[in-house]
Amino acid sequence: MKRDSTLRLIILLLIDELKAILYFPLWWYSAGLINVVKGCGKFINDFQQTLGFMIWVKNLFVPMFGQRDIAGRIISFFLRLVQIIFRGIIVLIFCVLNLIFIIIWILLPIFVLYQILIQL
Amino acid sequence: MENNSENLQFLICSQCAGSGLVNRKKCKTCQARGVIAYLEGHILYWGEKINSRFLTLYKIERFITNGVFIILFTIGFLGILSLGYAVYLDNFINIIKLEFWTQKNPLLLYFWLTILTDLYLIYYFSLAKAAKEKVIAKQYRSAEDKNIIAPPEMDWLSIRKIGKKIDIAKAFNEEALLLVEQAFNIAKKYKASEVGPVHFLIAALASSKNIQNMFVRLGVDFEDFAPKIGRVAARYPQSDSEPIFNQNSVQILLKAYRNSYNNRAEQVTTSDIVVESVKSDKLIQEVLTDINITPEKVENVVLWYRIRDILHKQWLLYRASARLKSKTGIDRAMTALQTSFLNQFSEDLTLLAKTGYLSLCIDREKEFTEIFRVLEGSSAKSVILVGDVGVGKTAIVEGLAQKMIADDVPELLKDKRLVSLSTSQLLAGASISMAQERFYRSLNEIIRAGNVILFIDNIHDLIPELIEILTEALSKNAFIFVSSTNLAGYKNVIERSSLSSLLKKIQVNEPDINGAIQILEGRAGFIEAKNNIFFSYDALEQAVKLTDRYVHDQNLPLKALNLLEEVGNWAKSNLGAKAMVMGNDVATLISDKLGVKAADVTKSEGEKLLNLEQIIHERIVDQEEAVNAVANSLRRARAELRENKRPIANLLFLGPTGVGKTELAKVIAEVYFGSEENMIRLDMSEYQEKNSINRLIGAPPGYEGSEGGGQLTEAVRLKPFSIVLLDELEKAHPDILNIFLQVMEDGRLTDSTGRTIDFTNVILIATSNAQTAFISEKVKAGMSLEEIKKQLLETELKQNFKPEFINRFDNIIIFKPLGFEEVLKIAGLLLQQVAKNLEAKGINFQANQDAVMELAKEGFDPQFGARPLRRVIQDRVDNALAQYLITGKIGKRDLVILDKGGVIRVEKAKEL
Repeated sequence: MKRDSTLRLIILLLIDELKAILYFPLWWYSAGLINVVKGCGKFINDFQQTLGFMIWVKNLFVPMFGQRDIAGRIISFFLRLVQIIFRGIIVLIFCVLNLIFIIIWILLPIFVLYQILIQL
Repeated sequence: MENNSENLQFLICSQCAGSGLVNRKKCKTCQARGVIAYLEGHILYWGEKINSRFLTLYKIERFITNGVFIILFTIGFLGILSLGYAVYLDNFINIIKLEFWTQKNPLLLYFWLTILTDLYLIYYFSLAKAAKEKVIAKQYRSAEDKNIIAPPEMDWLSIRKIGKKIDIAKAFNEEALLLVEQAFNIAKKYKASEVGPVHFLIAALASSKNIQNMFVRLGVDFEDFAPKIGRVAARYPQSDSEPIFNQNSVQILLKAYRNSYNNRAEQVTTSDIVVESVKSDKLIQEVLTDINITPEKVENVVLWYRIRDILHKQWLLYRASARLKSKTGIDRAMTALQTSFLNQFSEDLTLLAKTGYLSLCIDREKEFTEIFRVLEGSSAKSVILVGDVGVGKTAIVEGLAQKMIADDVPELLKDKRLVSLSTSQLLAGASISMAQERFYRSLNEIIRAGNVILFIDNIHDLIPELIEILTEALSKNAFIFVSSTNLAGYKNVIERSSLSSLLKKIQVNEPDINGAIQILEGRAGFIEAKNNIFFSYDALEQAVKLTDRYVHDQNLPLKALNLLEEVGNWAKSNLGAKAMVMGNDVATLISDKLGVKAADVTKSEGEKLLNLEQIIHERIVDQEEAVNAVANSLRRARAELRENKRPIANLLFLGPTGVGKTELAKVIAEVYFGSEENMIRLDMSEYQEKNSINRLIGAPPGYEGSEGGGQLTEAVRLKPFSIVLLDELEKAHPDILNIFLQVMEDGRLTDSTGRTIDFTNVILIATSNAQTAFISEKVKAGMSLEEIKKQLLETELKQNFKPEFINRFDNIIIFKPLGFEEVLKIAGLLLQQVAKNLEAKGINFQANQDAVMELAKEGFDPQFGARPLRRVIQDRVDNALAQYLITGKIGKRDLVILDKGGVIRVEKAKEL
């Protein structure tokens, strides 16, 4: 009797594993995808903070190094503009890289299946 | 740390008595939950089934999980190999050609299949991660809120309606889950009828390295402890069938979860389970009490390990955020200015924090909150930390610098520098006007830079001219200012200057015992690493408790930290590498250092205490009652059976002059405090005037002699562990007696400068000749000393002292007048002293019995006791000996014999 029920539990366990396998494709395009998008967002935000990109944007009209005269303000503005453009490009590159990563995540299973079909 | 308030309420199913099963079927009332708990708005339950069948199942499950992982990993690896082989067979260059990929190749097919399994592996990991949950985060609540969310009346029907219930098993970490399973196996081994606290404890001790370490820190000897705890397990109710995991077992796990919740931990760990197991089992507690461990100690050790974890995490956080901070002192937006001039006289604390130079700050959240509230809330952005030396003001400021690095501060402080201005550097080699100029320029730079928070330590050290400049600068409200001072500095300098209206005062108090222990727990690691030793938990606790009790002129936590450092050095040279410092080692060290009795009573000291009467009688003749009374009160004091808020003992010695009152006091000083030197003797006949109070506790400030302090207060301040002997007490002015009233009652006295002097480690002895005639008369009449004392207290003594004063004494000891017999013995003792002095010169001395008798007769005076005897011996013996010695009639090894009639005979030693 006891042995029977243990066996039954093991069978239940195996059924669970099977269910998990069936859930896999669904997970890839739902919870898994959300995880990846969130992860990329966090990565870009961290990177943006490391570069201080938003800080530069916010302070575009604030003179650098306390140089509050007209000349100082003008020079500061252009210097900051150059900095913002430069840093912006780097941030953009990373955004694109992350986007590519997300696209790969979406396309990879389909592509693999396609390749398998070719091979068959 | 959060208080572990009792915020947990259990609901146990009455239908199934908490087992979850009725007739081996799922209980319908509680849906097989058995027991649930209510924790500040959350419903908790334990969702794992624990019995043999399920444990086997979990084992299989783990086996399958590991198996699947290994298989998938191998398949993936082989896939890469097969791709490599395919490339190897073809041409390496072809890999970039489309034909290579589109050709039919079994190796490629295999490769693509393995990519699918790789993806599955990612999925597998994510699922495992998602199955784990964190302990729910505790909301910060005010004191009023806590009263509002009192647990509601719970019943199973209303619980069913609540949607989300929390399965606490998901928040248990891997080790803790395995511990639960192992506890079941251990219960099974002991044939217990249910899984109880002791099984959790044994499982933890057997399997968890962390728990083993914690018990080592508690000073547990496992060889001794293991059989004891095994016997506790054997005393649990037994059963032949397998143990059940019932509501009692689950309650421990629920409480463990509550612990983690209160400590804002992410996962429940083995230590949480151990703490609750110890707390909920009286038998375990008894075994632990036997080896001097309380549940609180176990909790504090767990806290120690948690603090180390927290410090490590804090450090990682600071390191991670430090990379964002500038090294040059310019803010990230580059709006700030360099402060080259200021830098000459200052130190950038944020820069030091960035490089990891500052030590981490523990248990100061309250002060930080207050600082932030003041800086954010008020228009004046200046605070002053007021607290005594050593309470941790600097640690708070350094902690602030670290919080700034981690951006764990209000917006106002973010991306700023905390710069500590050194007043001594500012003043070094400068005239006043030059210092003023330097200060001006520094402040100007700070205002212009705009990203500097100025910190001045010990602001009371600033000269008045600089304080004026600072006041002016602060009133413009152009920068944020943090400063610190001690209590006296605040009272004498800051409050009297116009600065006080600009600075918001933040009181920094000495941490309590537990807070100080936590701070020590945070620092102990550094001292351990430096000296290559280990501290037991007791060592830390003793360092705090003993310094709190015996060191009164410094503050916690600094005084305990200093002691711990000393102990570390001492242990390194005395105990050797990797030694464990125990509580008694700390006590011994502080005993040696301060001359107190803090360590446990050793065997030889115990013998000495038991034979105290004999030891005293080596110097005091007769006076049995007095000697017994004193010996008893010393034993009481040493066994810590006294109140710690009063002097060790307050004794009044009554009796005629020359009967041994002062001598007994000297003996006590030698026996209890190690030397006769440790005696503060005040002749109260010098304090007959009312204004002599000034000499006792010091003159008020501004009066003549106010710098020197009082004769009594200064002496006790410098020698807190000593006898205070008040000779001829009855002669003192009544107002002065009132001062001693307070000393005897509260164990402290405030001197004229406002310093509180601690009297809790002195033995206070007053001697008095009051009512001598009465005592002599009654002794002659044959009345017992007990009876005499009674009469004295009831009537006679009230003529001399107020009743409340007499009542303050722990013991009033009557010395009876000496008879001739006693004087004879004293003569013997005094001559022994002479012999001792001569022995030091290598000369032997003997006195004939007749000679002793003659001296005693000469020296005996019923009125003055043994006092004339000393003079007689001085005249007759010492003088004669001196003459002999000076004229060289006595040589080394000679025998000097004192004969009747004061004749001194010398027996020359044999020639060598």
